[in-house]
Amino acid sequence: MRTSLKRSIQSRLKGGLILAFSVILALLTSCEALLPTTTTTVTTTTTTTSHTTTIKPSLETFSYDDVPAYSSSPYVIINDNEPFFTKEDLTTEAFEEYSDLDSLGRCGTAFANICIELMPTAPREEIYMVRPSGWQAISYPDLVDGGSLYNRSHLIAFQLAGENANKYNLITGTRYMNTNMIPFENMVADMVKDSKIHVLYRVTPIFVDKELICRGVLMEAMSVEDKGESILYNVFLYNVQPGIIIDYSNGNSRRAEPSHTQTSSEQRTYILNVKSKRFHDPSCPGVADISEKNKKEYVGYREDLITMGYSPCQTCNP
Amino acid sequence: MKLIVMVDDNMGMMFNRRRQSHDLILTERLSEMAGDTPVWMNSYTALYYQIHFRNAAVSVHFMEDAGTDDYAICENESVAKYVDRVDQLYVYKWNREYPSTLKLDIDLSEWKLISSTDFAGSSHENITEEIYTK
Repeated sequence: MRTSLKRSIQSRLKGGLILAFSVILALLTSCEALLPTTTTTVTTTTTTTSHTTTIKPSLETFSYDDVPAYSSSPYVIINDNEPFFTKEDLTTEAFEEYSDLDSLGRCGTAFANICIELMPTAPREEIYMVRPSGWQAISYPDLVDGGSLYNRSHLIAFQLAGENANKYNLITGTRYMNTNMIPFENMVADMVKDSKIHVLYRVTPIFVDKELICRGVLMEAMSVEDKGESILYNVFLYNVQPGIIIDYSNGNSRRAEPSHTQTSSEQRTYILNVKSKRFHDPSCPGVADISEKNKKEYVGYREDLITMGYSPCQTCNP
Repeated sequence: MKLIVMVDDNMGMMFNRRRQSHDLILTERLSEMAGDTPVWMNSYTALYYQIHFRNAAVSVHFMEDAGTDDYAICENESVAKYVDRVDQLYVYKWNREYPSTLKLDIDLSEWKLISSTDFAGSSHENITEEIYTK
């Protein structure tokens, strides 16, 4: 670890009162470039589907409920691609910050100011000795490129900060999510190398309640010297693997069987999350996570729910 | 015109209204290639590339204004609607994958590849220059 550059993210969060006051003040004074308005558009990357929801524009209040259900795109754009950085975050000081593991052994936010000084100068080392929360070595050779469902996914990529077996920076990520993080990492790495600029870069695993596997990662990036002219994004990548159903509470998994209900014209009972627009089987463990105000029972046809803009839960695949 | 575009492995050009990448060695190569020949571009491209060319020409309608022997750089617009005006197409491939929200919207299989050259960039291990004619 780069202890000389590392600062405790906890200490930054403990300065929360001052920060919160600054954020509120900045919001009131319409600091639009860094602190967007309270209406947040979450837009899928496909041209056919888009969702609009209202969330508070900060990392602290962002949750999985703010994300539309996974359909076919590996990521969705959050907050019109405006990161949740504050004015205080903009610095040309090189740093890396990693959150302490929580009581369940889960990683939190990793935050760095990517620049040439942080980039690796030595070959990548082994990381197999780290067991991130929910880790399981399981293989689906016919479904997953490379076989293994899970990778030890770097929050801050090795190519950006040279971190190897840093347990504060490795999560259990599906092969699908891990490989789809790479294009976003490449863009930052190559821009930093070519322009010798700094890029604020923050990756946050988004967990639901006490689940050990995150539902996805929020990736934020902004070039510092040109205030986002070169690099600016805020995206959520889904920790899913097409064809496989994951139990996010413990990392167990199984093949997604072709759902008989997908072509069925039978009416049945579903539980809706009217906020995230997902529908669940009543026995799905995810139902317990839905707040009462967002939960609704629905009896009817699956096809009708999809027509209404709902998507099936990736866990129970109703 | 001789149209210059830069693409990633998925023919992407832009993400979030920003170019996917740039490379100083590629820029120097383009500058040497163009010499005193006009290089047309729009205001977005001009912000980064204008100072690198001896005869840069900036116009909203740059793909219409470029003459037959002139160069044009297109980064953030559809190329398809100007394809009839393109005599030679210079495609620079980053050989990297980036996210993209704008892709090159012409089918290269309909063009004749006359040259393909690899070279190392400043921030890209290997850039491929492909030159096409109709």
